[in-house]
Amino acid sequence: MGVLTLAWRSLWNRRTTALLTIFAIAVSIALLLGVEKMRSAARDGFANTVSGVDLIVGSRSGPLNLLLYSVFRVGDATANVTWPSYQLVAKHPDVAWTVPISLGDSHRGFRVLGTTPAYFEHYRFAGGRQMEFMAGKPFDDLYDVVLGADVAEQLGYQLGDSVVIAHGIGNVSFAKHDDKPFRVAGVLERTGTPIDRTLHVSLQAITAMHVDWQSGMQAPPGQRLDADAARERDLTPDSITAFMVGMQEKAAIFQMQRALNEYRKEPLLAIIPGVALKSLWDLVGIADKALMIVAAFVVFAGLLGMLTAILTSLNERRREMAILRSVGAQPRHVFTLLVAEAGLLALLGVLLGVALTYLLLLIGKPILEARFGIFIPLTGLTGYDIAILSGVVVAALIMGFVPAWRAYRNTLSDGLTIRV
Amino acid sequence: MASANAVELQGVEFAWPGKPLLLAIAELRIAAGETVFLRGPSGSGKSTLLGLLGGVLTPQRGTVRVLGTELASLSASARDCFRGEHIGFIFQMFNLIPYLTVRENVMLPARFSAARSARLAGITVAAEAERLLAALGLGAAQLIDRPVTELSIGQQQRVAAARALLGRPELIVADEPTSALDHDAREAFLRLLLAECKSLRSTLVFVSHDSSLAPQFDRAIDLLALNRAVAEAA
Repeated sequence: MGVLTLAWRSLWNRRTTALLTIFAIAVSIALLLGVEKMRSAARDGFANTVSGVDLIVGSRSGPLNLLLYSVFRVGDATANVTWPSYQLVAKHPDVAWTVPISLGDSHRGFRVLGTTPAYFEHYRFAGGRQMEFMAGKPFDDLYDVVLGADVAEQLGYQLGDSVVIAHGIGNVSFAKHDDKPFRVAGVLERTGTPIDRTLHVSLQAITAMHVDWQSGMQAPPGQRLDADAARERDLTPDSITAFMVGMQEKAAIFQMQRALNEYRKEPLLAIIPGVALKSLWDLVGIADKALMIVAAFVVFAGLLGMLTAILTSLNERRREMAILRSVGAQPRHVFTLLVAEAGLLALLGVLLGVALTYLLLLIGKPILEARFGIFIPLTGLTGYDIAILSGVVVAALIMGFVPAWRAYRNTLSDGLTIRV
Repeated sequence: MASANAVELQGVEFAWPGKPLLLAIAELRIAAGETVFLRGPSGSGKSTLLGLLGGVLTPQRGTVRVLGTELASLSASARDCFRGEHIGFIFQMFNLIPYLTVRENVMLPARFSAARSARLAGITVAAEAERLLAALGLGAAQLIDRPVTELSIGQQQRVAAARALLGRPELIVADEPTSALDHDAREAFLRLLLAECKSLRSTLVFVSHDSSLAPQFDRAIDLLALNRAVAEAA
C-alpha cells in the first residue's frame, strides 16, 4: 500500500520522462494490438470470401491461380474452358447448379465479370450470406450491369447511369467498348469481399461486346456491329473463364473433382474452395506472422526504453533510497518500489495503448473498408488480446527486477550514508 | 538494567573486508533521555558509528546495544524494523523526499513502522505531524501541503527534525544537521530540537565538528579520542 503510493508519487515527480516512457510503450502496444486485429480481420475476411460453392473449375493451371482469379479477381486465367465441356458438367445428374464466369474486361480499374443471374442466387460469402441488392435487381437486359458496392460508391454511379466497359484489365485502357454502353440495373449491398469491386454483366453481354472483334483487335470501322444488331446474333459463348459448381450430394464432391481433373478431352482443374483458401492463407499467413513478430519486437523495444529510463534514474535516487531506509524501509521495500514502478509504467502504457488502438481503428475503419475491403469489427478485447497485454505487464515486472536488484544492492552498500 | 542506557557499545571494532580498522571503541554508554554532543571531524569514523547505531553495519567484534537490544542478534530485516520503530535520523542535508509534501515527509516513518503511529495514542499521524511542525516553527498552514523543494534549507532541516521525532522514537541520531545553516538558523534549530527531545524524553546523539555547539548538550564526547583506531594511527 504505502510503497505503491510512493512509487506513484515518485513517478509523478518525474512525469515528463515517465510520460514519454508510457507513450513509447503505448505506441508499441497499439501496433501490436492493431496488427493482431488486422490479422484476425484479414483471416476472417479471407475465409469469408466464398462459401456455398462446392467446386471451382477452370482450365488447368495451379489451384491458387484459379482461386485468385476466380474469387479474388487477382491475376489472369492462362486458358479458357470450352462451352461444351461446361455444358457437360452443367447437365451432369449429380450437379445441382453451375454458375459460369467470364473475365477479361474492366471499367476504370474494376473488373467486369460475365455470369448468369444464378450467380446472385448461389454465390455465398461470410459463412452462407447471400448477396443482396441495395438498389435495383439482377441484370435482365443484354446491356444491364450490376455494380458492387465499392464501384457504385467510388465512381458515384446510380441506377440508370450509363457505363462504358474497357477491353482488358488495365487501369487505363485505350480500347473501349464504347459502341455498346451498359445501363446500371442494380447495386449490391456491401459484402466486404471482392464482389464489392466487381461489375457484373450477363455472359451474353461479354460475347456481344466482342462479337465484332477478331484476334483481340476491334474490327475496322466498316465491319463493326452496333449494339442493337448484336442482339440479333447467337450470343452463346465459345468458352468461359471458369465456372462454379454446386453438387446435389456433398459426398459426390471428391468424385466429381477427380473426374474433372482426369478429364481427357480438355485439361481442366477442379478445386474445393475451402481447401484452396486454406493453403492460400498458409502462404499469406507467413507475412502476417512476420508482422506479428515485428510488433512483438517493438513492444520489447518499448520495455527496454522503460528499463533504461528507470536505470538512469537510479543514481540520482540513491539519496531517496537512503532516506527511505533511515525511516525504516527494508531493502525489500526498495526492491518492491522499483518493481512497482516498472509495473505501473507498463500498466499505464498498456491502457493508453488500448485506447490508442481503438482511436486509430475508429479513424481507420472506414478507410480500410473502402480502400482495402478489410472489415474490422469494433469488438472488445478478446481473451487472446488480454493474455498478450497481461504478458506485457508481467514482462515489465520481470524487467523491473533488474533496476530493483541494483537499487537493492545500492541500499545495502550505501546504508544510511547519503551520497549527493 | 540494560534499559537504563539508550546506547551501549562494548569492545566494538569495525573494518570493511580487507581494509584497515576504521573504528575501535572500547566502551560508550549514553543514558536514556541524555542529549550528547559527539565531536567528530571527517575521518573520525563518524559514518561508521552511525551505521552501527542504525543497525546498517555489524561490527566484527564487540556488541552494540540500542535500548537494551543487541542489534547483531536481530536479522537484517528485524534491524530495519527496529530502526524504523525506535530511531529517528536527521542528516546533514537533502533529508527530504523531493516528490512528497512537507506533511507527507513528516508522516513517512508511519508508512514503514506501525509502532511509530501506534505510540501516538489517540492522535492521528497527520495531527502529530502538524503539532511537531508547529513546535519547530513551521506552523503556517500554507506551508504544510507545499512541495518540500520550495522550502529554505533551514526549513527543510526542521522538517527533517519533525520527521525524526514523529511517533516518539527513543533515540534521535543527528548527523551534522546544522552544518548547512547560517548562525541564526543554527541556533534556532538546535534550541527547538533540544526542547522537543526533552519534552518527548528522547535520547539525542548529535554529531558535529562545530565545538561551539557543545555547551548546549548534557555531555560532549570527542570521537577522535574515543576511536582507538584513529587515535593510535595518529
